[in-house]
Amino acid sequence: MADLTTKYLGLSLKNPIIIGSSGLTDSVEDIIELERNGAAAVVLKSIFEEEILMETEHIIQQAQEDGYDEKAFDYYDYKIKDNNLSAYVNLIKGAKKAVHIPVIASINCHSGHEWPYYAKRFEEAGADALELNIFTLPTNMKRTCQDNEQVYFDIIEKVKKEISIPISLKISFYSANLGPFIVKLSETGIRGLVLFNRFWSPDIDIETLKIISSNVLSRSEDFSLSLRWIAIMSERISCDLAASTGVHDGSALIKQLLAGANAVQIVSALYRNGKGYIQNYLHDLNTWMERHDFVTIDQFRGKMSQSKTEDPAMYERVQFMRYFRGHNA
Amino acid sequence: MSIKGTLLPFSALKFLGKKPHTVRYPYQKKKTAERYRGFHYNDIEECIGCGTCATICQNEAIDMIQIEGIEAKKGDSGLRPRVDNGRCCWCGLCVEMCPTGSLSLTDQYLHTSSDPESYLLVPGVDHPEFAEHLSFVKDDEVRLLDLARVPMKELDPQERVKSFAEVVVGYMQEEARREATRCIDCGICVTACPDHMHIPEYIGAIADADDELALKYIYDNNPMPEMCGKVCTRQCETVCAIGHLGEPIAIRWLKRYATEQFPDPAAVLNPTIAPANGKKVGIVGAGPAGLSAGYYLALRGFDVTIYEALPKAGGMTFAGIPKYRFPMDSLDKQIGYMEKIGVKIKYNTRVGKDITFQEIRKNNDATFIGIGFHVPYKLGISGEDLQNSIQAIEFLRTINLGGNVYVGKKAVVIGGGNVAIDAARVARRLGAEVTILYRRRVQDMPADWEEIEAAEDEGVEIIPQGIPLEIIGEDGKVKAVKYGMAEMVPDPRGGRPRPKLIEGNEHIMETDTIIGAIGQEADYSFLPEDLKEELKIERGRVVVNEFKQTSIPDVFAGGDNVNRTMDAISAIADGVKAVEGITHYLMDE
Repeated sequence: MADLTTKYLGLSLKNPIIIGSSGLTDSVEDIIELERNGAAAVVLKSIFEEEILMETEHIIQQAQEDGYDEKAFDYYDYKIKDNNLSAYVNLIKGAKKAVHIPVIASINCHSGHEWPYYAKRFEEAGADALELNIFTLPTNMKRTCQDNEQVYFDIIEKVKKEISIPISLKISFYSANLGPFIVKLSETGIRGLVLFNRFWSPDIDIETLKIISSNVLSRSEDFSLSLRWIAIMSERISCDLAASTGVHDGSALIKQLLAGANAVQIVSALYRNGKGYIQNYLHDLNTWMERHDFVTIDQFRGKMSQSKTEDPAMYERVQFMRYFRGHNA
Repeated sequence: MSIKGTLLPFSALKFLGKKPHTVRYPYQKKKTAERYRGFHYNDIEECIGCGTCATICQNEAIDMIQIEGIEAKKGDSGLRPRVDNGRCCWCGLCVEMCPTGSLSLTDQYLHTSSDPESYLLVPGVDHPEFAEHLSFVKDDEVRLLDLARVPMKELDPQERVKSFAEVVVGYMQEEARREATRCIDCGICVTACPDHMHIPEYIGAIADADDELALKYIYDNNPMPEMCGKVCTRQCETVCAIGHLGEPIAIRWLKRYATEQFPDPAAVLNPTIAPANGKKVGIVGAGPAGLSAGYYLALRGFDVTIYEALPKAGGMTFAGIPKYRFPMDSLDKQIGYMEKIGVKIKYNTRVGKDITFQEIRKNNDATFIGIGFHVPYKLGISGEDLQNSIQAIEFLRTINLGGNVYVGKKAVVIGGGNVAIDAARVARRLGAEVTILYRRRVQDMPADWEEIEAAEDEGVEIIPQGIPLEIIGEDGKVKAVKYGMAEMVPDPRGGRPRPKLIEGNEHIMETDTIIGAIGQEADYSFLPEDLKEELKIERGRVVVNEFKQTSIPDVFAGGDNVNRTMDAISAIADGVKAVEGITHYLMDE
């Protein structure tokens, strides 16, 4: 039996499988079941500031329809926020009592001043680490790339002042300068980066002419985007890396580890196949390690990163060139 | 008879066969005189259906009738005048007395018909084109209505911040009589009052110098009128007919006047208490809702016990309203009267701790929950737990209980409602420079505008569009507050604009104390778990029917934890309505 342990954000994990922030991780019962099926850590479903605002708007609208004066709900969003935060704190506490694996809290705010307060509450509740989910779609035509990126550094600085538990950052691939951006982020003192976030995407219903949601779950081919960047960045930065999106089977897990990831986050595969599917990953990893005579993950982690592979240029190739027609590349 | 006289008629024969010569002048509609008084026109949108025209008409030529498309609403009876032009003498008195100026007379006068019904016209509905022919309109020079309110004296702002002396002086007798005579007795205010008090009746009694009668009218459905006379939100005044063109009748101050004339209401009211009917009612909370329910139930012969956690009754009117607005002796007088007629109040008894709700329910035939909103919303920012970061509700309660609270030289109050204003003005009186930080504009503040003005007169600074971001501490105590500025973003649905933080526009204000006043909610922890599930609660409020009965038949509720307006008069109205509900529930077959 191979040693599947790894380290991520300074936390010792029994294997590289982290269950990503999702509906799979928003109840203590589910978290218990995930641990029982072999998950090494969980990232709790993100608490979204935007959701709180939307919930408040909805309640106020309903209240107005019922004849209430809107002034009666002057600061009602503060109450909703407190209710949601309290519920989240209870989730952290409940999860920590119920399982032995690390519990990572996750927050998603879009206004800078909320992050430190949320972070402090989660640390006090016992979260083992904090994953910051920061992203604003760059559609503001008046903001520069630098303006958009500066938000990340401001938030990290504010949060770091408040808490001492490890911080990881889940980012998107939307950047004109992704490589240097990742390097700069890693130098802020955060302990890990999660590549990459998966977003809600729009689609069009051509019959009803309405905007609808496109596929919510990822596909296995989605993993290549994070694979590329994990491989490129893993030897260039000092913080840990977790691969996310499209890790749907054991081979994808192994590939990400070979690229240099410390761990992977999985969600869609479990939605499709159930929580017991975690065992498939672990079985595949263990079998492959035994077949290749690897005793520990550190023996092969990063073996196929850009700096270590025989053909590093392959990770930077983006165009389909002539000889692809022969399916040689 | 002379021959000439005999022959003269025959001289007409010279015209025989000649064509008559007719002189035709051009047709000219005769111009009416200035301020001619012809048929009526009424702007039915401006009209509030107060019926003053009908009342003042000396010929009883005006009836108030229902019109299709016009619904009754707050400040509008939904009725409109119909004029019987067979009776009308076109004196124009109705126009002069119209409080909104919607009624006028026109220069239109032609109408010929043998059908008497055709002379019944609804101005503004019939012949809307008369709007272009207004002739006799309300004269601004000659006023039959007294539009100016008798001013209320108040203590000087610079002096009154030095103490908790009552700010409002009150009307002298002559002032009250004068103010009362301004009322035109239209009754529009009654529907706006949540408790539907007998406003024209008690104002009329004051005008007639019968203050005892006024008190009786007032106490008919309000057992805390002196409190209302000092701090009511006076929705009645917002719809007062006189207020359309002038200043509304000072209904609140007149109520205050009537109640202050009698140190012992019992001596005047001499209420008839029904014999004991053998039914017991337990009431949780001695606020306006619970007290009102208790008072009227006791009058009907119910055995009433109110359980109150604090050492004094009154709820928020005791714990939340500062004494410069509502003095303690005023409250004591009203509570004392209730206890005199048989309402039992158990003080220092917290339901859920000193006695269980189950026990109250078991020992009574019905219960009433009037617990109010006493649990403050948290600010939810870093530093909230520092020393000297306090909640306004607790601050005001401690002060009213005679305790001391440190505010230092500078206090910042966060919020924009009446509690925030009260906290700010109390902090001023404790010697602090005070700033209110409110995240919307001043005009968006839920607080009473008179209170906002009074606070500003007393030197309270208001920073609008300010969002607190962090409370900065030193040695575990409040040292400063960091706040950002907000831009107001319009609500696409037409609601209040939303404050949106402007990133990067942050300020730090040094302060000794932070007082949070952003809202309150109810504490339902006293309810047993099984009842919490059975009791229907939405958005923090107990759901009740029109008789304040909850989803549990023997449990009734009222006050801030039920109604939408969250003021004392609405709580009183809830209590009064619950009395009907409880009586029906317990006494009907």
